[in-house]
Amino acid sequence: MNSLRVSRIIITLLMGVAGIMFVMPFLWMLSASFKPELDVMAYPINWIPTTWNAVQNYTEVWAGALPFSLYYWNTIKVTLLTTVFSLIISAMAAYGFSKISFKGRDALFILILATFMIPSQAILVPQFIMYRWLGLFDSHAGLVLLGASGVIGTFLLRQFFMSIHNEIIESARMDGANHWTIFVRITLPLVQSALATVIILRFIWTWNDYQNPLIFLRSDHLFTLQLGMTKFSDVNGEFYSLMMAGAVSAILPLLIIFIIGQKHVIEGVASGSVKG
Amino acid sequence: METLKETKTARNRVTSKKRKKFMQDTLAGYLFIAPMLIMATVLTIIPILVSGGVSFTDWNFISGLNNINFIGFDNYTKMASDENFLRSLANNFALMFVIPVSLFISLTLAVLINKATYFKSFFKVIYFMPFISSFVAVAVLWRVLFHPTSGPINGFLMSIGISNPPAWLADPSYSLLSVAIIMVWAGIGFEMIIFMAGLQNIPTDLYEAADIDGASKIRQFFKITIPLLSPTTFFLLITGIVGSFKVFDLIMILTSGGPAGSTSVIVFYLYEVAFIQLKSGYASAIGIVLLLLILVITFVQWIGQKKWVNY
Amino acid sequence: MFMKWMKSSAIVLTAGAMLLAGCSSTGTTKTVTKGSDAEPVTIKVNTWYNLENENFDLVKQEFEKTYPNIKVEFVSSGDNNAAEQVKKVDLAAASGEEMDVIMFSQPSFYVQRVALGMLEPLDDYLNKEGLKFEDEYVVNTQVNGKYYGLPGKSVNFFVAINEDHLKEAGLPVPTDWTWDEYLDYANKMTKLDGEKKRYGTYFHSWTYPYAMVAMGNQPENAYLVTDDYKSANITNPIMRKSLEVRLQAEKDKSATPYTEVISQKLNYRPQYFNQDVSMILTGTFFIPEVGGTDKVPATFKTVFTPYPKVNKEDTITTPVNSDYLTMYSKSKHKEEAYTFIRWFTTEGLMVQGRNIPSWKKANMEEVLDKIIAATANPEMIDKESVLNFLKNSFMIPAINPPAYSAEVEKMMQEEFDLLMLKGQDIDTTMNTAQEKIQKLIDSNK
Repeated sequence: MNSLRVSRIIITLLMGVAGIMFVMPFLWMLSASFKPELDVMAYPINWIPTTWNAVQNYTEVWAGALPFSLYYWNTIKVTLLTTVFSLIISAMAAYGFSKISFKGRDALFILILATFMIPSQAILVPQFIMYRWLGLFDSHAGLVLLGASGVIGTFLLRQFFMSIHNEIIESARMDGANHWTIFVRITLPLVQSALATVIILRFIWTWNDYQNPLIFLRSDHLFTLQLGMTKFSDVNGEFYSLMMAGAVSAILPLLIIFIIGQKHVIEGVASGSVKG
Repeated sequence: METLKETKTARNRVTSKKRKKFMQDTLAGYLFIAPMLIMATVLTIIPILVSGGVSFTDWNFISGLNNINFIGFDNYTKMASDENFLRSLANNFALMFVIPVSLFISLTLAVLINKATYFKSFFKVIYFMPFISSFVAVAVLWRVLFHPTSGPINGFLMSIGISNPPAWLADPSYSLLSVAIIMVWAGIGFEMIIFMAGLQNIPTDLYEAADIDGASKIRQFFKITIPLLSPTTFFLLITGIVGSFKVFDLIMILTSGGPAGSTSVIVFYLYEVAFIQLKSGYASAIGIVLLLLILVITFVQWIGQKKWVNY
Repeated sequence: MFMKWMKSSAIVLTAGAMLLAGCSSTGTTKTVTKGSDAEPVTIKVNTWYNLENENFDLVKQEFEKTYPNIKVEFVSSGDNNAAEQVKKVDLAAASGEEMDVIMFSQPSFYVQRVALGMLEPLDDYLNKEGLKFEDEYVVNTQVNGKYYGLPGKSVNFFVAINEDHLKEAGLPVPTDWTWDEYLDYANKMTKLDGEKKRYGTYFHSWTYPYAMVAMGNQPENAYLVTDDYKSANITNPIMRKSLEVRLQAEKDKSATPYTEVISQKLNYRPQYFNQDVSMILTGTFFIPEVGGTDKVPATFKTVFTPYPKVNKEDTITTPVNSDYLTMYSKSKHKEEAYTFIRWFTTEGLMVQGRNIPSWKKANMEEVLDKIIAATANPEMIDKESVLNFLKNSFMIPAINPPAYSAEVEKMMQEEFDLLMLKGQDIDTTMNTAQEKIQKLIDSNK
């Protein structure tokens, strides 16, 4: 028993040391946001700023020329809507692709899967023109729809759905339950860890998305954070101190979502043992 | 007579019940997948088809729709002798190896965090940080680590006697490797949490039963964990390899395809052809070839899944 | 509970999405009324600048005061990223969006789009006003015999030197020097030991002009392709000299090592202002910066010297480029667009006070005074040396590059990288580049 404890401590220490490297980008972001512009790129890296410019930087970001809080609100809005919408349609599709047998099911699944195998740059022009034609250009609705059409959530959830034994479903159908009831009452609770994971991922991807807002938004008052932050620059280059202050401010919701989401991933365990 | 009639009617009833179920299923199936299918079709599949059509022309998208000339397979034959394209393709194939390496590392980490460390939640957050950190910060950090003269990596190499360590990102022979290392590191967070979701789904009584039977932790790992994780691993393998073929942002920030084109990847080349050289037809052809290539690779994996994935 | 919540949120969500679609702002649908004298016409000016920083609000104010029947709407994502702006302009053109005036930051962007029919020739408008282009502007924007745009801010190249370092090394301010003397200065100002390391000079990563330094200010054939677009222009003694200068600086360790420039993606601004280097070859866009801004204050004085020459007997020359103000060929307000283009390239830039116009009739000193006065520490700009280099350098208007110049530069850059990083010898470098570029030229004929 004792040796187990010691090995645990050793592993914890090793993981801690390795972990430092993983946190370094964040620490650099923090440090850069506290420095005056010229010190940011100075080499070697001064983790603790010699001149503290934190107040000025954060004030400039939040109360300066750019409507940072508006960008923040826009991002929250678009991300929440995308996440919820995406979760619903992905879960539905995943259930359909795994637990219902119908003609053409697997072929359609491969078709859907194929959509994420092409890089967005290749279809950018047709997508752009179609968006203008549909009237979805320069709107948050357009962004939400674009973000929710990502198929990775469907793929992941399908994998988890497939691990659910069919007997449960069969017996429920014998009892006269229709698919929607089975979907909502039986299968969803069994894949909670996957659901929580999809929520976390979709939230983070949408929050950090730069390409789509860049191309599909035009009006400044609709801009999201990632796009707005690039405006901390001038003709001779970016102002990293401000961009990092913005980035640090922007990362907080992601941390919160992750920490909360992780708890749900764990809670999925108990109900997960209802198997075969 | 009576019994026969009854059985026949009973059978009919059963068949019509089956048919009813079949129809119900089909309807339900389509309804469930409809929202996703419609969105994917409108927003992605139709643009892909349009792009496919454009790939047989020499269109450039600025000049409008009156200027499309059909040129057959010319774009495709051009690709076969295009040095830049072939070089990018080779680079992408090399980068594929990033995936198995990072999967191995993230699985190990996920298992360790799950079972063998204290402060579980704390570590989960730490290893996840790169995934949510600003790209700029990640790029700066790794540039510093890879600094040719005063960076820690070369400092370490020089201290153990390697007198002329490579210049990493600035060395045409090592730049791809540097990018690969960064890709492995950046991918770990994502893969780890997916693995952890998968791990949570393995019922603990299986492990308890194995403990009672006297199986060692390692044996349990290979006989319980890995098989039951296989759907998750399959998912990560596919998304990982596809992702490695689609890599763009990282290259843009770190090297812009250089130095001397050593880190040029297909999507980066496609971007150049489409938006800098303004050759939409050729770019579409490249996109289609990439799509077909990935489909083939995925198909191979899909067939292979029967051998090792347990649902 | 979770499920019930999900169900109800689905309903809320669909309603929300419908609402969003309904009230989504399509910001740019301003009703454009046909211009009569009574009703004001709105023209859209497409650019990449951060509008507030660059005083575009002032520009708008002054223009609308002078021409009350024309309203200006600037379209810019404000991130100073010209590459992204050009992409957006292309997408806008492809999807039939309305545009009037389009600014381009580089000749290659301009030339490419002339070839694709995106821009309207301005010759008729110029003739109507009785203007002769060569009398008005320093830079030549002619493509295929017509003027498709007017030049905006002019960019000449020169060398900026940290005066403190100059004095420390006991060197006089150069007013007329060769590349060999430049290298000598760089050597003398380099300090590699001691607390703060600094290199004599820094060469940025752009292909033009840094991969071809001595070619940049040649009176003829100053680019990687000859002026008549017929052949590649690499295997010549001037290019050889350029590559030798770069190699020599690396060997002497008097310039920031190329491996560092590339792997760290260095930017010239922090290099110069952190005093990591003593002098840089740069363009006139750097002048406002030199006087300090509140983000990046100037803590030392900068002197300006002309572009170095190859031989002592050469005249002092400097290439002049500009950005471009053009008219969209499908604009619905061509007269008004022309009015703005003409006004901006003459008085507008002076009002803006951030850059030097390409207009021959601009009062150079007045412009400079304005730019200098707007900086945070104007005493850090040595005005005398600026005026000197402007007066004494013979301005060579750069010839517009061919439409495929991006590919040409990429080919040159690749060979250059191999030269600097892999020790490829000069002859192989020049010959390979020459061959590849020639093939490209031939395929484009």
